Amino acid sequence: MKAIIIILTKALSFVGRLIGKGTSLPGKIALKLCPTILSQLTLPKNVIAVTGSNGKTSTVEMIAYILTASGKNVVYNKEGSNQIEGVATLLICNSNLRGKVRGDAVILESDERYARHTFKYIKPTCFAVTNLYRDQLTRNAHPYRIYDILQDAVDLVPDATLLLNADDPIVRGFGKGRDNALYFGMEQNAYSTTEQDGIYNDCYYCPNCKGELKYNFFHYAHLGDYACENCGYTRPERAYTVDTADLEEGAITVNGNKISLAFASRYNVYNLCAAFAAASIAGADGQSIAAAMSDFVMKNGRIVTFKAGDNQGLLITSKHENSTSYNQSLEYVCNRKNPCDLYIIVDAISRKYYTAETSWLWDIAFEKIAKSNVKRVTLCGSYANDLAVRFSVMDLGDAEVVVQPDLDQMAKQMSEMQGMELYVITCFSDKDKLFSRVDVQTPVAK
Amino acid sequence: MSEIKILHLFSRLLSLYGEYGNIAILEKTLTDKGHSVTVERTESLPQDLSGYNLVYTGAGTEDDIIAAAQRLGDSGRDYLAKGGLWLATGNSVALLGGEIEYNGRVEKGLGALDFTTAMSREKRWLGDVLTTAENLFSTQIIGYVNTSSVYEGIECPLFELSLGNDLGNDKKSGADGIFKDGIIATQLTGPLLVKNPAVLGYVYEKLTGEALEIDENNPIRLAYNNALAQLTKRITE
Repeated sequence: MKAIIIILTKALSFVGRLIGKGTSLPGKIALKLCPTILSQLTLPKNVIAVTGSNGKTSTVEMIAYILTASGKNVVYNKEGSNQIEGVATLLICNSNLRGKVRGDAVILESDERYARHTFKYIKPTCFAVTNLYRDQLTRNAHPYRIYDILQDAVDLVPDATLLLNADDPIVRGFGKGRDNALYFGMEQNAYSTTEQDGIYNDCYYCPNCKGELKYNFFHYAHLGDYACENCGYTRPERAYTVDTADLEEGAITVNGNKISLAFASRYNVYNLCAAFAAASIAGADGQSIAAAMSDFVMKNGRIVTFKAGDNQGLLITSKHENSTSYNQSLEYVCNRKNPCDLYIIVDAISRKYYTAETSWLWDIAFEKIAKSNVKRVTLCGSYANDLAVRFSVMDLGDAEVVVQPDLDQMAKQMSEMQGMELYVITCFSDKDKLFSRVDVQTPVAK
Repeated sequence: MSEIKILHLFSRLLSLYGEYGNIAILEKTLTDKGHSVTVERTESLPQDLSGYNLVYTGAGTEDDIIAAAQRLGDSGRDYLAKGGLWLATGNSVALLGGEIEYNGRVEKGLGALDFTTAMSREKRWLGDVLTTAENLFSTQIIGYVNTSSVYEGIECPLFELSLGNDLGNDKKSGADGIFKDGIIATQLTGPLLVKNPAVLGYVYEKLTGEALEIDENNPIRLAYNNALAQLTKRITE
């Protein structure tokens, strides 16, 4: 029976690739025919699962790259199909007829809500949690609800090494009562702040006791060095740490190993540190990891260059319904040295239907535009007026705000722009609406 | 011109879905119309609320609602008994009633009204809604429900849901929120006043005694018109 299901899944996956269909269906059918098929597979020595609100795909891709560079044969879900059906397709298609998964290591991107299903059958040897932010609240409700759901997954793998973000007070909670938890984090650096610079902080209060959580410094969002005077809940010791960060130079050191950055963003630094840690646990040495990660460029990169008329533009892809992702993109634009023309496109929050849930627009720290070189902000797409209301309660100084729901008119305006650098921030789900109106230059991963 | 004093209660504890936007747009609207506005943000209920024209509470996690209930005293009930105005959005509706139960713990709300709240650790109700309250608003009200709370014993609802009518107070009927004396409470989360010019106008009028005119080309109205058309289309489709 096992062999038949494996053959069938491989065949369905082959046909699916030919007709360009998704990667979940073969695994879905396999699980329907045999719900325990995943537990019948023989896995390699290293099975690393990665979850979290942001950075899953990047971290998995980095770990895979590092381990491949160190000579290991790696199986991982390149397409990011991270629910149990996608994981089933991946593992079955990479196994022989006896169910032995090929390779030295499996790396799984795992959806926060589905890890508790996957882990009934697949027991990772290392389970990394990058962060928990407000993300897709129409689906996830709030980060603490995802914490509760993920706790079920953590409880299913008592023997796995937990690799947790020490700087995230919510994620740190998974390590309570576990003696096999290791932590990664970022030390205080020139970009740390003593005041939280966002609109909100999901850890104003201690996740453990609801007492006031005091921070020695923040990195961004609720990440930083914290301690609760009420219950003693503190940032734990880090086994893996970003010792220094110089984004001007584009370099960091992780556990003393210097890594040069292709994309100098402090948000990405956490993904890199998590990948460093996971690869170390899988047996890679620090110097090899640093060499592999130096100037590493993601295959599914967030940055895409394009031309609108004669004007060169840069798209920074973000996630709708995820204010931390938008803040990351905004920070990049707001740190530019030259005058900037910024376009924010929110046209469809969900691909399936319209939603009136726009609270996340109020969580984005657009206020930082006021202290930047952004000279004009154009709000575009069907939610342009929702954005305009958000912008109406801010003082952006000299920056001009234009409301342009029509995307054709937006593209026309881009091509007429003069004397400024051109930036666009939008979601993966809306980016094709830009691409169909400009000349895309960077090869675009589909 | 009036001098308006607003209390944003638990502005940090209960700030899950952009609730501050309600106060931001209200403050801007009042200021633009020439009124003097003071907004105070606190994390516990002051002992004397008599100087406030409006108290506002927003949504939080289930644990945060329990924590907020632990910080309530008698002043809220006194404030309402003397005709105070209290706007509650999201699951902070629970704070106005009696017992609030979550995960084996029970806390008491203000007790201004006699209803109970049960918050679920497992189940959640969420979705877009369209509502009517013909006695208050001439237009439909739009919003989003994202809650684990089930309310029993609310006899004076604010809205009747026309889209998402399984998301009401008891998750059976299509009745949402509370409208009684000075209480305007709804499960609708987030920036309710930002999305609904009619609700913004209602609160503005309660505070100032003046009708609020919002231009047809104002982004608030344009965004509302777009959302209403889209949600109405979902009903008809």
